[in-house]
Amino acid sequence: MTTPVKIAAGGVKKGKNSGRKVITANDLFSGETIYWRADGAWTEELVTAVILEGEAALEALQQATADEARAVGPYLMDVEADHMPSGRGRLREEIRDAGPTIHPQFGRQAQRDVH
Amino acid sequence: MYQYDDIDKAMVNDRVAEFRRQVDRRIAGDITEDEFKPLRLMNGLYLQLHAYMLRVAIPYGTLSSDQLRVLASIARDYDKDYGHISTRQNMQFNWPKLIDTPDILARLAEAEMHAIQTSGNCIRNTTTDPFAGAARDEVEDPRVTCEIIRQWSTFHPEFTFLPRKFKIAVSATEEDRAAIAVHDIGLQMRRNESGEPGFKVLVGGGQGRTPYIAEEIRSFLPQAELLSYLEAILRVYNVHGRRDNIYKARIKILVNEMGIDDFRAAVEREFDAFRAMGPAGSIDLPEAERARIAKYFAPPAFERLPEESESFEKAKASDPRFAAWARFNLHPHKVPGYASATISLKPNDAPPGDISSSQMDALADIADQYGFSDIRTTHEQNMVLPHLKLDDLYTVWQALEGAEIGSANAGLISDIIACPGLDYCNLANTRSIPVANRIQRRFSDPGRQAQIGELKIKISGCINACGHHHVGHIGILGVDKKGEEFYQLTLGGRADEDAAIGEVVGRGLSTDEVVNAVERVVEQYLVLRLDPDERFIDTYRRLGAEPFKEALYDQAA
Amino acid sequence: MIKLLNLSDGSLIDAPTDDVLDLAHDQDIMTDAPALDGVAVVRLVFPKFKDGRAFSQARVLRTRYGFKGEIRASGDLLPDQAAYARRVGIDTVEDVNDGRLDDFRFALSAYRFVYQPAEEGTPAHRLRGDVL
Repeated sequence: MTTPVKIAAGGVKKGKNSGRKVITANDLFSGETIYWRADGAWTEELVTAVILEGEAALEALQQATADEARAVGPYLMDVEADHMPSGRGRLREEIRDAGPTIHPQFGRQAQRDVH
Repeated sequence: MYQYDDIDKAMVNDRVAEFRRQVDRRIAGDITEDEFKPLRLMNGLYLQLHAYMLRVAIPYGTLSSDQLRVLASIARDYDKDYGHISTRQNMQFNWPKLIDTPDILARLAEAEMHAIQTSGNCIRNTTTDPFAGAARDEVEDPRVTCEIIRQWSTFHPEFTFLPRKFKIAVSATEEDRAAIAVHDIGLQMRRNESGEPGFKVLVGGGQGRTPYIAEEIRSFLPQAELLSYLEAILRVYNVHGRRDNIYKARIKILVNEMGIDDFRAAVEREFDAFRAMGPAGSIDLPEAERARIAKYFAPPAFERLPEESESFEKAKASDPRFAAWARFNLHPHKVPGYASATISLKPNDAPPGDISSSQMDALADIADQYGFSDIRTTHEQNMVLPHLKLDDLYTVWQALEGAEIGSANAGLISDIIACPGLDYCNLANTRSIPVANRIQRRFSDPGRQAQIGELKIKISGCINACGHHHVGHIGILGVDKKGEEFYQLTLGGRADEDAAIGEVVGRGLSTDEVVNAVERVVEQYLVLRLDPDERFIDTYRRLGAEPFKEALYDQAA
Repeated sequence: MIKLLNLSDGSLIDAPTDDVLDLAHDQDIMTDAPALDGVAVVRLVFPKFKDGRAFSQARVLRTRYGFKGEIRASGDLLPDQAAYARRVGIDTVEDVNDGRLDDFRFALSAYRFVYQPAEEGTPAHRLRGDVL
């Protein structure tokens, strides 16, 4: 039995499960954007997320979806080989990772800009 | 303003305890996210792109200075030192943590505030004229009705799991400053031939992907029967509203599919059934309770003052920046010697509607010193000090300037409504706020803004239309094309007593093109207008979209 | 026999499963009167907890048709909706998960007051001294 899984959310209406994917969600407690790692833990560092394709992506998404204790609303986002967001949801995922473009002082971009 | 009694206090305190337990159950895994989500939404808690967002109710846009200070303290202690005024006159915090929200709600409850039903498929915050209780042209203070609706709709057992959200607005003036024609229900206060108070009732207006101007369902509803009539409408909607498709679930679709006559007949049948139950079965509010609530909205102790103020006139003559603020940001008051002032939250290069904690504190102090501690939020994402003496205005403006909330642009081209857009919102396709800021920058010359006069630009980052683009004189809708941001212009929309949905003109414009396009429309208006008193919307009404389209296409080609 | 949660006091009671009139959640009883003669129990259904049509059905049964028998809720009702259900005139809930009994009971006593008149509860304005 395969339950339907979400492979896109929000502004990106119909995702296709083709190409490289990272599982992303929001942290239940803080709301922070988080990503799924190869060891099944969540991370705030996109570059440490696991990149998956095809069936492997869907299987991992099912596991991630079951992890309600930590994550809210997991779905698959498109990435390049270097983890950078790509495809229709690129801008959306860049903002989810970095923070609002109108408030460079807020979100994870604030820490990054310091270095 | 309304003051909670022990019952009202128990209501919000019990709500906090309930929500605290709901959060605990979610964390413990006793309820799923699918079950928790509607529960948190009914407490105003969204999950946005990179954080939760808490929407605090500001019932009918009325706040005391102490309440504003509590909002400032929440921004300071639990958020990032600012709040954001929404188009339902509420305040949003963009960075709270789930685990902090019960404590935030508890702090709100202490100040007689809450976040109840600020989201979810239930009856939302009732909105009204920000100048209520002060406006020279009002029939009576609409906030009494709004408070009655607030209490009636709070935890309504029958209408808390509706097909979709439900928004009510009340106007007490002929000039509609509450956008009642684009609400699920719009109430316009009026008196019948015998002088009895009541309402004209509109139904089925709304924006979103299928915009409708509301239709009149009743030309006169006696004030005493308001709640049974609202229940009749809500019941017909709850039973017949579509639940198969979220995009067709609003009452506007039902009214349109049934036709206003059949819809009216169904409502009248329910209304008759309420009437048939007689006084014992009546769900209407007894007059004594209306009177109890009305007492709280009694006018403050105004002084007897001359119609004109010498010091005010002198200050205007000597300080042109103050004169500009007085020209655009003041609204006539019903009491001689007073005025209402719009506190613009639209400075250049800041998100429209944002206000920092220190600005909130400053505004609260100004309200205490000069404005009977009375503060309003507006659906145009500004704030209002409703009761100011003309004699005090120059001092007030200087204090506002000191807090950087003295922009003289109310109703002008830089006074833009914009939804949060893709900088925050999970539903957005494109950003809105950066577009607003670029337009503000292009028109940053105050002289040019004054020359253009009243012009309402409204920007939405997706078809859900939270930025009210359908009713913008110039509306801008963000659309996504293969991951790139494009913007579609509409012209001629308005949310006033002559409400209209704007007409789509031309193709989607790139981020670079959209500001130029707005400027071409504005330049064309300046050429076409008969005289400086003819507003953009008047010119548009006289000539239609064609000459503006020509201006757009000529130069785009 | 099935177990029912009694919304008036949060107790569990046994009930027979027969002699029940089932109303579908999309049945419009405002327009078409249900045949209630001799009916002791009407069972309403919440296909999903977000579908609130049964709240209106219960209220119409009580006010329009003066139904005095038992109104029973079945389907997907959340504990957090228990007080709403009671207030529109629903008496009992079928098949409550044992693990959620405490949550249902909490919900039934979570609020000390109510604002609006309905089938149960004294509205605030009456407590405020407006004695009829």
